[in-house]
Amino acid sequence: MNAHRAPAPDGAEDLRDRFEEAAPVILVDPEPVVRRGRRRRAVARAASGLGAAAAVLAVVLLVRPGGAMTGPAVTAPPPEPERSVAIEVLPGVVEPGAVVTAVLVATEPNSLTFGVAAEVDRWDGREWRRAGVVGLCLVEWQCVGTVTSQLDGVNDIGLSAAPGTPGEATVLSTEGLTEGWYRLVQRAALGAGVATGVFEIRTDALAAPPLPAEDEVRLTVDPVLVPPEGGVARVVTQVPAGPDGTLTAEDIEEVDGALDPSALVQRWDGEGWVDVVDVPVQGREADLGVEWGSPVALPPLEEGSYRLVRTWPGEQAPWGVFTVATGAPPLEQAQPTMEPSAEPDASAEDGDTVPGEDVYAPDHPLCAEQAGRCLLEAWWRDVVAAAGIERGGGDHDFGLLLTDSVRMADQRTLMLTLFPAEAAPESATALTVETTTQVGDAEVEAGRWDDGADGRRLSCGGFVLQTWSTDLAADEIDHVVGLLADAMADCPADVAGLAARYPEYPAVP
Amino acid sequence: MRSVRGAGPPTTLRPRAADTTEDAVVLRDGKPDADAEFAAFVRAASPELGRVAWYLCGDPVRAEDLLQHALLRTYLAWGRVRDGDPVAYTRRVLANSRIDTWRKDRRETLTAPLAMPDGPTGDGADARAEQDRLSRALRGLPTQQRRVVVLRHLLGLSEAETAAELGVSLGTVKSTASRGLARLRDLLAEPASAPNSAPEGSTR
Repeated sequence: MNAHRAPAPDGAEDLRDRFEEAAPVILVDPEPVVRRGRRRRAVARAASGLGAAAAVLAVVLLVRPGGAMTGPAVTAPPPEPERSVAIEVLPGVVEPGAVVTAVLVATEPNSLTFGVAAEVDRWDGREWRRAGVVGLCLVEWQCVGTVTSQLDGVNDIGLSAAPGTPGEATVLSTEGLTEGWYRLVQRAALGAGVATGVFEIRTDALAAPPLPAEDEVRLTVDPVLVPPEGGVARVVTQVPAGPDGTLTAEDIEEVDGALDPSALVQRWDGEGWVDVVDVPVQGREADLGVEWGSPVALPPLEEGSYRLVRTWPGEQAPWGVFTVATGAPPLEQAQPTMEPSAEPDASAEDGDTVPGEDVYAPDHPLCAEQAGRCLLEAWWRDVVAAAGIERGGGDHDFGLLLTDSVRMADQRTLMLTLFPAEAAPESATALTVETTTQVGDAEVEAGRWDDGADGRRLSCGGFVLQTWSTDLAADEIDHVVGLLADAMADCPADVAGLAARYPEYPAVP
Repeated sequence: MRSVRGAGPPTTLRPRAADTTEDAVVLRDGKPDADAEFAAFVRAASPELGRVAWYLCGDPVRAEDLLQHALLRTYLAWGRVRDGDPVAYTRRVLANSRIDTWRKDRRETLTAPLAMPDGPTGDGADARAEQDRLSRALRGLPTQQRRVVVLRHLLGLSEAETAAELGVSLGTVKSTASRGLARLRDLLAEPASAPNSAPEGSTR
């Protein structure tokens, strides 16, 4: 139950209270519901009894003695017809009993909505025959789908996929399925379409990578399907509910905040996990909930099964799996500050690590498209260099908004946002100011954001620098903000003024 | 579970079928009796779930029907959901119910509030007016937007929970929730509608 749910800081608390006050009290007598339910069950049992009798008769007639159905088919099934949505089953070949991951992948725009109920067919050498049904479990749920003869019911949710955006990952166990080829079938609501995916169970298959325990802190990687060229994925910390079944965002925040800011990528070699590379885990965007996860820039990787492991002081390191597969929808490519620090680039001023490339260089194509972002970057590089601050990287830059972070002691992070006052994001007004201080040309307001986080708003000419943190002492924040305020001295009056300082950059629309 | 604070007129209060048993769970052969357990769950959770149903469909009578429908689904799945979070399960059923087409399919013709006898005066009338205002504003949202606003903003679920419960992407929740909340505030800020404007679903 949600008895002690902490309402999300969504700014709607007033409405929530108002509606709660006005809502009528609706009490339902359970007895009629129970009576109707019993009748429904009785009817269903009668029907399934007839079905079972028919099934037993069919098995007696069709199944050869001594065979679990028939043995594995010698000939492979034909390729599935091309449809707008298909199911990618990972790994495609597994040993009996392994857990596989199923992801809806779209090849063309569609409006199909699938549920988590799916059918499992087995290839008998000539045609597909029903082997069972399964209620798929989303990876963030604490369950694994099992193949059974009938479903009592499944969670009534919808799954979809669009080209370039795989659907949510689901898992099912192949426990109880014998060797052979199998087809997973998900039907769209209202019979509008079907998605299928084929996988094979072989006793000599490489062992499938294990999955993290569902009842322990673990990670999920979104998307779970990653193309070989890598890109930016999100790693989400999954925390099991407490013994009373409750789980709050604060519970997750507590765990997530204690995790190491880097992650180890390991590859599954069929027997164990092999280290591949360390990648930094970026800070979350300030106004996104913990469930949104943190960006992590995955480097180019060979096809295969991988896991991300994050260190957790004093506890078992949580981990989550992903699969690198050719044909997986491309991911957004990492900004330079989000690259893994494998190949330091001496030409980079702020930790850029893409050899020979600075995407914020005035003549880079990116700057033709995002002139404002590049202009901010040019100034910001000068500011952080003057302040002597090491950049931790941001994750949500667009238009005239620059996000970055400063790594503090004990793996804590101060999140920063820089933007011109003339193009302030919506959140710029949500600071409850407690004190105001003048630092050189800049005015620094200290207070709290709507979500309770400690905030600073530094106004410098026509520009605003905001900070956000939940676990830093005020003097730690003020130290960094003071350094930045000094470095930002001689503040540009507006975007045009800033552009005049960096004439080599394309004009900002 | 949130307490019902200063609730409006209890338009659909019904006596408990077995007040003497309250929320006790009968044990048979050392095991909890599933039906008694379910009944206790219904008694305990129906105020909260009833509020969700009202948020979704905007009418207490329809809300009760909708809730009974959802509880029936929960009863049929009780063996599986009893050890989990049956409130969340039922809420998910409510949220994903065809709240609009279901309404159109109703055979009964609902009576416009204006055609009903005068209600209580004073504070009761004020509470009823507030209830009407809020339900009209909610009904002014498109169905999916209303679902998102109800789960995300009125129930305080996280964006991810809302997305999971409705089976939509996080991005959809983010955009829909912010638009829906703004729209709801706009609707609530509008002056009260003309007295002869009959609510949706009423006789005309």
